[in-house]
This record gives sequence, C-alpha cells and structure tokens, in this order.
Amino acid sequence: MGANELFPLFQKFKAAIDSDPQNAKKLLGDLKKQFILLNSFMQTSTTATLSEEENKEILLIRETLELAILLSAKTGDLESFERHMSQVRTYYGRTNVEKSTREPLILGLNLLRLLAQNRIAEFHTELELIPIDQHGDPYIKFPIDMELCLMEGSYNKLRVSRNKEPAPEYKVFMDVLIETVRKEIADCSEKAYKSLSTADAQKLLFFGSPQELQQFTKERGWKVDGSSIKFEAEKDAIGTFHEQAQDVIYKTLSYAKEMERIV
Amino acid sequence: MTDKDTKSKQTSQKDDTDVVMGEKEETEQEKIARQKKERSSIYFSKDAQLIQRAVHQQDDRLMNRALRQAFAQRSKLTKSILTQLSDTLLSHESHKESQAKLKEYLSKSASSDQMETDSQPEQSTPTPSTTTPQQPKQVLPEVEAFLHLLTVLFLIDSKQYQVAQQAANDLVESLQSQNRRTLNLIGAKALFYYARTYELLGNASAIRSNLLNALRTSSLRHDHYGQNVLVNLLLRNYLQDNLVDQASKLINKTPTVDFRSNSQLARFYYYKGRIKSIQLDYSDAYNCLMTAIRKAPTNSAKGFRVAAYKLAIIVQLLMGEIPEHNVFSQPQLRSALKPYLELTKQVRVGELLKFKDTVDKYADVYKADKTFTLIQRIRQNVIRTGLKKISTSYSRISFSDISQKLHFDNPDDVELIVAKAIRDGIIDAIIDHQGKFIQSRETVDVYSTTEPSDAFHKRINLCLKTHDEAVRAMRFPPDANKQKAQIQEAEERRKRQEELAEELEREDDDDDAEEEF
Repeated sequence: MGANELFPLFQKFKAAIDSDPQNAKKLLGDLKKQFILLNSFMQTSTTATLSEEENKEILLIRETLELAILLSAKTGDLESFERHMSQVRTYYGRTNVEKSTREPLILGLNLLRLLAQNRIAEFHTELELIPIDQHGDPYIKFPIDMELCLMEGSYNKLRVSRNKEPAPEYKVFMDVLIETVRKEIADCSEKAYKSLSTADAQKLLFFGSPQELQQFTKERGWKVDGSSIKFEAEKDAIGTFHEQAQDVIYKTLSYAKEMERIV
Repeated sequence: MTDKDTKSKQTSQKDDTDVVMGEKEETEQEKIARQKKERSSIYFSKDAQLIQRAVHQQDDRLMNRALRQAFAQRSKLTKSILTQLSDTLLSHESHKESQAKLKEYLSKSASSDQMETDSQPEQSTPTPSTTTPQQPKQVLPEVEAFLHLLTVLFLIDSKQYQVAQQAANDLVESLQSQNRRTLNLIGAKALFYYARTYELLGNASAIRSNLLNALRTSSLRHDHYGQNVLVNLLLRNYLQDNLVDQASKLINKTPTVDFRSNSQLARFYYYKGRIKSIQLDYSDAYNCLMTAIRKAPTNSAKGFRVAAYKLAIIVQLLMGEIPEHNVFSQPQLRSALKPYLELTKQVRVGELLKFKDTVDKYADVYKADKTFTLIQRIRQNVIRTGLKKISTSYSRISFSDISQKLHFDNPDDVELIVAKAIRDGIIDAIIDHQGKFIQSRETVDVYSTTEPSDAFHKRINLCLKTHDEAVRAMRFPPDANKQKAQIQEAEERRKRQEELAEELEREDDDDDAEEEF
C-alpha cells in the first residue's frame, strides 16, 4: 500500500467535504486507518532526507489532516478540530518536506477557535509558536486583532469585523466568539449601568430582535421595568464584615505562631 | 638576581644589545609562562586531590569547592596543561583507554592554538622528572571524569564546538553507565556542558529525548544535582523553540525538585516566570521572577539579571503596576534596560500614540529579547491608566471627550471599553447611556478597606519566607540533633521510671488500704 493506491480514496474524501460532510467523515476514518499501515507514518524526524515515496505519503497525510480540520471547522465540531490539530502539528515545522500553503490558514483558525472558547492562555502559548514575521499574514493577523479588541473592550470593532473574515471557515468560530463577547458585555453592563433602556440594550448586545433580547434577559435574570432594564448593585456588607473579621483573626494567629517559631 | 642584571645591562647599553635584549626577553617571558603553567597545573591537580578527598569523605561540599575552584581557573587551561594532567593522573594501565581518548580530542583541536603546540615538546620534557619516581596509581572514576570535563571546557572555550560535542557525548555516556553517588555533581556539570555544546552548534532540539531519559534515570537514582540541572536544561530547550505548552507540562509533572544550588533555583524560577507570563498568570510570574532575581548572584551573572529584570518589568506593567524607578537606575543594568524605561514612561503617562511610537522604535530590541508579544499586550494597560487618570481628575466626562483625550481610532467603542474597565475594577464609576457620559463614584478612603492589611500581610509573608529559607540553608553538625535527642530520651526514660515507681508505690498503698479495709 502506498500513496498512489490511497489517492483515489483521498479524492473521494476531498469531493465529499463540500457535498456530503457526513460521508466525508466516514471516508476520513477509512483513510486514517490506511495511514497507520504506511511506512512514513512513524517517520518523525524533522530533518532526515526522505525518499520520494515517503515524501509523497507524508504530504498526503498532511493534506488529509488539514482538510479534516477545515471540515470540522465547517461543521463546528470543536473536539474533532482539536484532535486533528494536534495530529497535523507533527507535520509542521519539518525541514524535509515543503511547507504547506494551508499552514497559516490552519494556524489562524486554531487561534480563533481558542479565542472563541475563551482559552486565552492557550491562545498565547499557541501564538508564541508562530514566528513574529508571520504575524502579519492576513490569516494570522485576524485572530491577533480580535484578541486585542477582546482584551481592550472594543467589542464594536470586533462585531464589525464579523464580515471581514479572511476565509469562510472562520465564520463558524466568529459566531461562537460573538456569543462569548455578548456574555462579556452582559457582565460589564451589570456593573457599569444602573439602568438601560431595552432598545439600547438590544443595540449594545447586538440582538436582531426584541424577542431575542427578552430571551436573554430571562436567562440572565435581569429585571425589566417597563421599557428599561434595572441592574441591582449587589450589597452583602454583613457577609463581608464577617469574612473580614475571620481573615484578620486568622492572619494574626498565624503571625503569632510564626513568631513563636522564630523565638 | 639574573633578571636585575640583565635589566641594568639593557638600560646601560641600549643601542648595542637590541637583538640580545629581544632574545633575553623572550626567554624571560617563556620562563614566566612556564611558571604560570606549572602553577596552574599544580592548581588543577590539587583540585583533583580535593575531589579524591571528597569521595572518601563522601562530602558534596568539598566536591563542590573543587569544581568551583577549577572552573574559576578555566581561562588558564591550555592544551599542554591538560596533556600533562592526563599524563600524570591517568598513567595507570586501567586508564589507558580514557587517556588515549582525551589525547585524541586534544590532537583534533590542534589547528587552533599553534602557540601551545610549539611549547608543548619543551613542556613535556621537564615534567617526567618530577613525576616518574612515583609509581603510577589507579585514580578514582571521579578524577577521570573531572579531567574529561576540563577537556570539554577547554574545547568549548577555544571554540572547538564539534570536538567538544563529541567529547561531551562520550563523557555523558560513560557517566550514565556508572552509578556512583559521588559522581552526581560532576555528572550534573557534564550534562550542562553537553547541552551547551549542542546549543552552540544550533541543534539543541536533537537531544531533547536524551535529556528526558537522563532525567528519568537521575530521578530513579535520587540524583538531585542531575535532576536540577536537567529540569532547567529541558525548560531552556523547550523555551528556545517557544514550546511553552511542553515546558509548562514539564513543570507541572515534575515533583517539586529539591534544589541544591541557588543558581539552578534562580534559573528554574526564571523559566517558570517566563512560562507563567505567557499564560497570562501575571502575579505568579512576577513572584517567580522576583525570586529568581533575589536568588541570582548580585555581582556576576549580569546577563541573567538583565533578562529577569526585563521580563519582570513587562509583567509588572501588564499587572497595571508601574515598576519603581530604582530598578532602572542600577548602574550595571541602566543601559540594557533603557528601552524598557522608555516603555514604562509611556505607560505611566497613558498616551496611546507615544506608546506606539516607542514600541515601533525599539521593536527590534524587544523581538530579540523575546518580549515583543508580551509588550503588545500592554496596549490595553495604557488605555486603562489613561482612563484611571481621567476618572480621578473628572467627576463627570462625556464619551467624546474621553475618546479625544486617549486618541481612540473609533469613538463608538469608548462606552464598552469604559464598561469593561469598570467591571475589572480599574475605575469606580457609573455610565449614563442616555446622557453619554460617565460619572465617577465618590472615592472611598483606602484605609477603611482591607488593602493596607493585605499589603502588610504580603510583606510579612515575604519576611517569614526569607527567614525560613535562611534557616534551611544553614548547615548543622550532623550529630547535633542526635545527641540532643539522646539526652532528651534518657531524661524522659528516667522520668518515666520515676513515675512508674511512684505509681507502683501508690498501688501498694492502695492495696494496703484495701487490705486494711
């Protein structure tokens, strides 16, 4: 079994991605089972020179995994996205095979996914892995800009970018991201406003219709008073007083204990 | 005497003896050089003796001292000294193989220092006269490894990286085949230079799995020195390729390493701080970096301190704090930290445009320091300091004014940015959506909050920790505790016996009483 024999199956898989995602998933499973039998499957060296056959096989495996990622992005299957991402990673950064043209797209997509899932720490670890001179690439720059907006609080800018994605695959994750942002805005609003008219709230939270907003206010447990939403400042002064007293007692006792140990 | 004579001659007959003088000087220089060489070769053989003593007494400290002394003299190492040392120390038959190996490395590096090769034949003639009377002795494997390590050092210093790598490979291999507790310290050093050679040749990633294997072995052997060095080497290795994820996993998975030396501890904390800063865990990162700086030597290791300070400054800025000015004014570090001082100034002022200019100006420096990605995160902090300033100076201000003051590129976002700042507790204010302004809440007296006590607690904790560490770092005589315990035990036994006797007596009394009853 070699790359040439598997090529028809790969073609079928590639064609099915657009037309029949379910079937594509099944074909992907078959393909991956065949890959295990390939000689180059265990080839992990990043520098050793490869034979022509091995090179072909690795390129095939890589492309399949890349397509699998794009497929999961399209169907919004985050779990499978993550799994394939970690698989394809072993094929990146190799000096013995030519660089994949899809690499920036895949990496950018992965960054956006982490952002959408609010996994900021992982987002930054991922970003460190990408050389700085590649940060200007439109595919990678997009999630970086989104992160900046998210951190700054420029949510409007982020929303405007909604239709400026560099690739159609980004759309699904942008939707997830907007959802995350909405929650953020809701959190902020609870603290920053005393009251907000429903019309303004709808605009602020980018809802298309008042019904959606109603649903959302119900979920958050906000009080709607006529045409405005009232936010109540939480006051639990008594509770905190108790906690404070306990804290002070605890600290003082620990100082005494430590002093005793020293003397 | 003779020196003086020649000198006086030289001064009196300047013109005639030009040539002679030159010759004389040469021999003089040679003499001094030879003396120096002899002195340092004695020095190194003394270190070897110290190592032997350390092995016999099983004292890590002696071993440490021997290595430290030898390493301090590393600039004096020459090929002839090494040859001589291996001739004298490894003359026994059992060392023939390693001796031949050392010579092989040295001969491979021949091309570099002709100066040394010239003087070598001269050197080798006088030495046997002093050493041949002694019977060749078998030396400990520690001494053998020590010599091997010195050779590696010399090769690295003379930039013979290829040969050094080969030598280090052999050394590590032979060390790993032996399991001697006394070899641990030398083994740790050897591993360090092993990794260093690979790093210098730019193929550090190739030895990653070797290092991991070595870490496993040293963990199984309870070799703390090896573990310390290896953990740090691996972290360094990962971070060089920006493999933050792996590095952070390594830290999480390795059980708390018991660090035996401050320099390794400092390194460990620096790497940990780096990882934490990338993962946005700033307060942890800052603590780690501060520990690293405190543990690092105050006079040497300038490069390390500069790197640690740079990172610490960035992390502090990211936490929304402004580093103290005296950090930048340390005489040794002033010039190196200048780009970071500029940055701090801009953050303090809260000027977005100027901040951007500074970042652009020093972009290359930051990129080289690998802090560029972290610096890009500071932007939001600049905005926040700006907001903070505005909210303290105005009790009520409109969005458009804020946008103008902070030079935002799109004013629509002001409201949301402010809202976020309020939620994160940066400013204490209320937004009026209809009126399009923010209204600051009255400022609360800081001393009525828990803030002062928290700050106090933080400082006290630091002091207590320092005290604990100081106590732990002290050396106690090994039997002091035992003796004390023995005395205490004896006393307790006596007491117990007395009590027992008393009780028996009482029981007797009771019995008597009962009988009487």
